[in-house]
Amino acid sequence: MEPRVLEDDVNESITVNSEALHHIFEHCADIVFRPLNLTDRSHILLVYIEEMTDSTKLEQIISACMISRDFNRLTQYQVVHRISEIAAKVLKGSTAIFIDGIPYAYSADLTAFHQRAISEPSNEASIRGPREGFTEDLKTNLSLIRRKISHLNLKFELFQAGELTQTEYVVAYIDGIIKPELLEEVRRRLQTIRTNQLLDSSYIEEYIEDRTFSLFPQIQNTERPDTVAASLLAGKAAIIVDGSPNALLLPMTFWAGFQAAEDHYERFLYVSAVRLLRLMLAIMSGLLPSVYVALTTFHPQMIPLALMLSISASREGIPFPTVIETLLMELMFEGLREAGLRLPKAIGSAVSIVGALVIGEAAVQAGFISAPIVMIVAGTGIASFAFPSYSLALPFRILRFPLLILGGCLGLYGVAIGLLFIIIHLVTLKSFGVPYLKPVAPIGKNFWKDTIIRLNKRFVSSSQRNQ
Amino acid sequence: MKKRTVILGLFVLLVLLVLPGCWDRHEINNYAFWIGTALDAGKDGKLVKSAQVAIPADFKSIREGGGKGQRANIVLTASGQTVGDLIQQIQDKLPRKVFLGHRRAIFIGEKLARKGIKDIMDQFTRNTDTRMRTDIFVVNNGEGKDVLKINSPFNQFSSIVAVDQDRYCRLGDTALRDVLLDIGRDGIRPAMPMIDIAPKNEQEKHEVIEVKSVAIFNRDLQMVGEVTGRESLELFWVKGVLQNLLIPEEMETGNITIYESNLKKNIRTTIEGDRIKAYVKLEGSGRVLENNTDIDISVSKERIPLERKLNELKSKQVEATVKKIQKQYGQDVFGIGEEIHREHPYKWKEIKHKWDELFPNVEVTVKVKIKIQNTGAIGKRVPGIGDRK
Repeated sequence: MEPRVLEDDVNESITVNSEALHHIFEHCADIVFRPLNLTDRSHILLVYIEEMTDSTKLEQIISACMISRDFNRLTQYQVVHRISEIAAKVLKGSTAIFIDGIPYAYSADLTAFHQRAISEPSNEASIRGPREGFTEDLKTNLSLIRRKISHLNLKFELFQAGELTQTEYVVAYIDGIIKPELLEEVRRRLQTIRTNQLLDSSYIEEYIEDRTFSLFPQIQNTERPDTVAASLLAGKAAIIVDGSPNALLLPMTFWAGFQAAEDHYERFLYVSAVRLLRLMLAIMSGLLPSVYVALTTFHPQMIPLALMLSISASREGIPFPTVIETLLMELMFEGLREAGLRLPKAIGSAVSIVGALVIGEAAVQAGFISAPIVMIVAGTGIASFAFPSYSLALPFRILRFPLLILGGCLGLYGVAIGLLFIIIHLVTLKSFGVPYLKPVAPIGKNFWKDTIIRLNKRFVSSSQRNQ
Repeated sequence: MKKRTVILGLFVLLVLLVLPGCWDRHEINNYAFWIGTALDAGKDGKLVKSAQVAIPADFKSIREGGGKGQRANIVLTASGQTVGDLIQQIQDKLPRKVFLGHRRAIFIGEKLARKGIKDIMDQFTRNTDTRMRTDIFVVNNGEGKDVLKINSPFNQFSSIVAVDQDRYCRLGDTALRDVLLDIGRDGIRPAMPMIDIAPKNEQEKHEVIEVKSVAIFNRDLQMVGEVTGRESLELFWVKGVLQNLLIPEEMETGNITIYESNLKKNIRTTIEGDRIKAYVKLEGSGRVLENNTDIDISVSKERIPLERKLNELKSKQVEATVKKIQKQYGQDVFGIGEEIHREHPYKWKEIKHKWDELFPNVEVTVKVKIKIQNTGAIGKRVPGIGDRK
């Protein structure tokens, strides 16, 4: 029998254990060692992190120790034999209890974080429907989902990644609805993650997405438990990472990015109209500047005469070519938006007022920029805010610029070439084996029922749902 | 080495992408928008071409309320032998590139029309810049140039005024495309609306355009005559391009005015030996605008005889118009030849060469079928004038 490595085992002597832990937690100011000397002269040592422990429960433990050493009164405790294991648990928020003369330790889960309350998701607000959003705590988030789907087939598979961060994350799915191949593929890709840090769900997204160099997001993210629940019921998998209020949903299709959670709560006729509007605005957000430039500089015969004379009149004496003008204004707008995003609220509004006044009013008045361009840029800006999914709005925002340059160089022909490349890319793109444009391309049976419009739920089976 | 090739390839791609478009790229302000063309016969058989060209800067000042009454356009004139040469001559007078894609109207002086427009039509079909929706007019007793110079209070461009007016003055709007299609067919001769320039008077400070006649062309595209007023409307009705029609008719006890829309025509032809017969059926439904007779239109018993009477009257009138055109000008502007072509294709092959001789002798029977669908708010005329018995 080989001699066991003694250092890692919990010793009978509390002093030895204490020393070992003190050694492990050197320079860790947040870890509290609390020795207790009981009336029967036995010694007890509690090791915990102050800010992560529920102090009332801790007091209960102490009194339990003092009276009877009856830990059964505490529901959540485990017996642990190894020092390293106990150290890991302490770091996760558990309280370690060493009793002199016993060669193992108890680990009690008295975790109580200071955590954000469940609040309305700020980026995915809805007028009708549930108002709760994910928080940063994994357990809270899982409970939010479980409350929506109280079925034994809802599975939460626990994983851990990040050598230093030791972050836990969960793959959620519904057994019997999710395709086994998809689940297998998700597990396989998750195993390839080699990282020492995992601070947000986006870290996982980057490791497991299909195409690294695609502008389009291949994994959806959401703050809403109801969206996650609906997606799970539609056969998708969700990844929820501890410390991140954004759950990942996969596979993602292009159309999912056009759907707000509210789409399934409002009446379907209104939703269908809004979805068409969104699609139109999406096209506008990508194409409006380039088509304007192409039409005015290459194909003036396509603009109605009265409109063209107005445009022509407002362009008299403008020093820049239309392409440069549009490019400048678009850059200014993107700059304004980026600056406004990070500034404190009080300054942010000031910046946008100054920006709008300077760009919109003064530039036109001074004759640097023609008025139609300001309208085009403003229209494009509004259109780009109409996406329910922020991450899907980004590719449209970026692609606007190459399309604009193509439109300025080659006219509508250039815009068509650019669009062709984008469409080729989109139809070849796959997210976890699912074509990105499904069910429109490749065309699926009854594809229209829940994509571009939404039919009444009576006519849409759950497998056709496209959340 | 490999990296260099890639960089070079990318550079070539970029150059290829950017350069080829540059030659076609024109800022909107580098174009001179040609709104209307006038073609006239000049001295010594020369062709005179005038262009109405938009001035965007003036357009702006009108919008801002500054120079009211500004024209926002200039009229340039050049004379020469061919239309292509004239376009270049006008281009020489402009600092911006001539742009024909937005031309709205072509005006042909009557003198030139009577001389023949065969030589100028080719250019319109060959030039890829030509807009087929451009309207085409003949200027009655005048020069096309004068139309371009009119100052209309409605629009800075008299060409656009003419086009808009054509749309609302019941004479259909005849586009260049329609004329070219008629020219290409054997069984129909082109007809196009004519413009009159009404002189200024005290009430009307501006010169006004009036569209009330139709010019009739022969096979060689020479204008041979014109019909005016009611006859011109009837011509277009039988041709099938009229949209709506106002019929003021004199009855025994007064007059009645009916507005007819949904106009339809139907021509059937028969050939018996040398005799060619055409049966024209004209249909329409409409509402009564004015009733100065004692007829109570709301009563079927009184309305149906009225309809019958109107139909009879109208049939005679249209028949007379057709006969007049047959005898006076001998040009098949109605497309009866086309109808024969459709119904008797083999016979048509034999007679199409001599259609101009045959047409005046075609026996045309016209049957008008007008329906009164809406009598207006009251049946009889204003109460008290003709009380119900």
